[in-house]
Amino acid sequence: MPVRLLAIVLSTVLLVGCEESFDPFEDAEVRFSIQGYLDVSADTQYVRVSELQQSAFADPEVNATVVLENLNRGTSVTLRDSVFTYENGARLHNFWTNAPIAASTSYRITATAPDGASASATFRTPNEIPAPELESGISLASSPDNPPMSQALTIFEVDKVADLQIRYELANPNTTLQLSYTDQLTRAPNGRLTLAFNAYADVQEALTGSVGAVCPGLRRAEILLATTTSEWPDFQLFDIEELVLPSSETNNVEGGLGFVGGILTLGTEWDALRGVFSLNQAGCNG
Amino acid sequence: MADRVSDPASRLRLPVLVALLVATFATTVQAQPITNSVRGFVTDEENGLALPGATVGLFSVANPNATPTQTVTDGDGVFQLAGRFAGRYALRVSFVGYETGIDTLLLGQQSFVNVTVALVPGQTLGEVQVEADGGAASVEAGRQSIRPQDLARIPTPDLSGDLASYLQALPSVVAVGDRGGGLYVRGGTPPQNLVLMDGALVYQPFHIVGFFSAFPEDLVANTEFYAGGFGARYSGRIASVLDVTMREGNYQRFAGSGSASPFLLSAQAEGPITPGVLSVIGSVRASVIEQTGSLYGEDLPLRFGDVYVKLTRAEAETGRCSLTGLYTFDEGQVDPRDPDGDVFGWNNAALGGRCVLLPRNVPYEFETSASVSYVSNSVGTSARPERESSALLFNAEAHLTHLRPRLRLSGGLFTRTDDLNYRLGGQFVGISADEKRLLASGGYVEAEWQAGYGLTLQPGLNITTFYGDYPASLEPRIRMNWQPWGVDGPTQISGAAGVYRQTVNGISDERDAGSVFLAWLPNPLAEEQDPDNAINVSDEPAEALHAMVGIQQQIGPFKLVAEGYGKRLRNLAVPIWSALARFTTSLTPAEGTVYGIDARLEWQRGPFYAFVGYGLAETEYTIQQAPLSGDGPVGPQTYNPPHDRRHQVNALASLELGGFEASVRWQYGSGLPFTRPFGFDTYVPFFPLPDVTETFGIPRVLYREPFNGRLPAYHRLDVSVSRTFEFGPGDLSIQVGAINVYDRANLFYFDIFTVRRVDQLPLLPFLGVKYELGS
Repeated sequence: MPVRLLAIVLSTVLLVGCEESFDPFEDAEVRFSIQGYLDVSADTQYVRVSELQQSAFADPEVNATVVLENLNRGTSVTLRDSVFTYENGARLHNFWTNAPIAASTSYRITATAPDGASASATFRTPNEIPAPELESGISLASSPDNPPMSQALTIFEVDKVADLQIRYELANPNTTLQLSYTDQLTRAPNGRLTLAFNAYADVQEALTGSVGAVCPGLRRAEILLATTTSEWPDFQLFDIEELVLPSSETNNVEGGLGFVGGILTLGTEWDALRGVFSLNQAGCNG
Repeated sequence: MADRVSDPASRLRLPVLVALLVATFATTVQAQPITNSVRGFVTDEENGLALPGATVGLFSVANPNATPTQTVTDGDGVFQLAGRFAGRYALRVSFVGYETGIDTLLLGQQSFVNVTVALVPGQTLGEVQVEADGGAASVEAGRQSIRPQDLARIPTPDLSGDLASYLQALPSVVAVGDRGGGLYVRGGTPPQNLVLMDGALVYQPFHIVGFFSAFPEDLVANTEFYAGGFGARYSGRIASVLDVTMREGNYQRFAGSGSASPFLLSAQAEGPITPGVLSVIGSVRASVIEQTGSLYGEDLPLRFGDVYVKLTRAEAETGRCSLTGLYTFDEGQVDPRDPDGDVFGWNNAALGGRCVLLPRNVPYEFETSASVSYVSNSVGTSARPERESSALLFNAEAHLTHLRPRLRLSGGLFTRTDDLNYRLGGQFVGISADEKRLLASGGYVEAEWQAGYGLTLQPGLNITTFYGDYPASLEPRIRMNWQPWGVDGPTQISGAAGVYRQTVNGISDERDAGSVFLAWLPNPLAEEQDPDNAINVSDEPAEALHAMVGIQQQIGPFKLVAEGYGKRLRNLAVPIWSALARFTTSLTPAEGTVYGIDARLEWQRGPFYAFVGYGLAETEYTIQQAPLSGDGPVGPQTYNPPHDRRHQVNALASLELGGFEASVRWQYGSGLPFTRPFGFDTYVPFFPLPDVTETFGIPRVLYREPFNGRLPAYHRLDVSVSRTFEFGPGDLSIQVGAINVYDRANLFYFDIFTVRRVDQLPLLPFLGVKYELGS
């Protein structure tokens, strides 16, 4: 009996003892991720193209041809590959071109592997818009103890804003702040987008977490506006956990992952804001 | 089923509980007529040690044909017999390896008789014994008694068997690898196991090398293992109970031993302080696998060890008191090939005093214990741990047992304080560093009623009140056993059901199989959880509902047992699903179900022993979250957690022949779940607007579902042969054997971030020696 039992055990061992193949990766239905935007106002366009890696730490190799097509005119241009090394030492591929990008135009960007696998994104660039209207509404009733001031920015003929930021170069303290105002834009019945805000209070709060704690002085203020089309997702409304999902609704790359859109950027200096800050500084103790 | 008092105004408080329990108990006891009771201890005459599992029978001398009253000694060697005894009786005590002890008692004159029976080692007389619990196929509603000789049958790379190796041979227990120190019982996780050493909690008793624990064969007297469905006496854990009674020191003479193997060096000494009354036993063990690993061409940076001491005082016939202390340490890298890999470490300390008393002329068995238990966990480097967690428990208990004919009543009270301290370095979002004290008190009542026709019912109720943290918890439980053909019949049907809750839980990052760090935290972290990142947080303890039914059948020389079980789990804390390739994670509440079958076949004939066990199980967790694949709202998402082993087979054979003891063990486990990605990339966040030439982005791992793949199946064959010789004044034992005889490359885990597999131990031949004096 013991011998028979041992024989059974050993037979079972031999049956299941064969090595199984183990593939830790699932077959990918997609090859590339394409991420970036084309800026009508920029001279050079950069788009991040990645080939999905089978290691988080491997240097990514991208073996692809990346073509940008102007669907309105039927022309196309091949983007050139460039490898960028980032602060963390990692290297990534950004494809670029100097070709001019037209406003109100449909484009398609396609990454194609030598074996024919491809991914592409189709999008439109926004229309040209007039310069935004800037107002520094300094209240005449203001006093050193009560310097309420409001500023207003009006953007005309814009479909959507991808990002709106104001860069404050401060004299006291000597630093630069870049604050986002995208969420504060409201659309008026006439279709214009308006922003009403208090720059001095915003800067105080950004510096210290509360209003009135410091007296910042301003050297320079610049509005950085990026307009886009309605195709552009409201990225700011999503949780990062949702955005990074392969199934995220922000993806617009067919046969791949990522998002590519069109924008138009405007940079506008706002000299009048210096006056706003000066007036507040005058009422500042110390 | 369970009722929970959730209204703070209606929370029960300790005085009310005490009054309720005492009144219930006293009323029940006093309502019964006084009957005779014979109880006492069974010990080894040569060394004075208690003998758990001995058969004790009371036979009427005047009426030899009358059915004797029989029982089996418990883990402390205590027996109790109750009945309406009058006249002359023979008390017969038998135990394998001992001459049968017979004492004649004249009963009817006293209400209670205390008697200690000391058995002389030798040949057992050929008489019928009550089936002493023991053997892998002696399972009654999840409960199994594990004897030291059971541990010895498992090939272990040391001359002493070990409880850790034995448990891994059971169909209900899953070990995810041969290192890490965690055992999963019927879908439960390691921190959900209640491990008691002489009544004192040991938080993490399993060593980082999976063969070993703080409970080697040489130090264990008896173990009661409940894979589920445990009675009302136990509280605070929701999966299983491992109630270990440690061995006492020799009361008559000094003895000692030392052993060496490629894994472990150990030394043990014991002896009387006051002969026959007071004894001590101590043991020191330290691993050497880190040093000997090079012999195998393996880098095994794993260190562990333990120190154990037990002082016992035995009062003839009336009681035994002990003081037990244990310290363990574990440290090492689970992935030795990663020079920057995490170093995990944990330490346990436990000190407990316990008394089992059978006072003369009092119809109760008293048991009291007080203990302090400590565990600390860390991960990082030895000098600079990045995450730390510790737990300190003070526990005091008192138990009372009263035996009536056909009825055994038990009750008890307890109070405990948990001090939790953790610094988690942001691993779990919203939980960084904190201290927390949890106070709890409660009690239980339990009855074991022989209802007739071979049916025994064991209903019970555990009540725990918490001071300010959780609502009071009422946990009803029941166990049953039916032997339709009588005590000596071949068939036994058993079942159990109950409600179990756990407030102090060990949280681990189940996303990372290579992480063995356990953070002991209050469950489920409602106060600390970041509301922006938590979903449906609650302040309820983890909860499990157990139900099981099984049959044990003797068929000729074979003993077969099959048990089916199911569990529902609530308020578990698990990491959310995320595509972010990051260390930090948010926790979310999970519910779960566990279903399984545990089947075992055991055969013993003379010197040959064989056992085959098969476990079939499915564990499924459900969380509320948006699906990873495809669009959809937040809703129930289900997955099999990484310890969900669907099939498990263990085969064991041992033979004692010509002075040799040989064991062979083969184990098979189907593949465990792991997350199978389809790639990695770097996500570029579009708000605020990035510049891709300057913004690196966020690394992400791309997968469709968590734990959507299965690792390859695991199987391994271990063998050992040993022999003991007389050598000089003592005995020399030599053991040779091998782990993983056919050198199977068993995958421990696959690091998807580095594309590196970490395998379990390869073929490891071993040679061990042990020298014993005075044994």
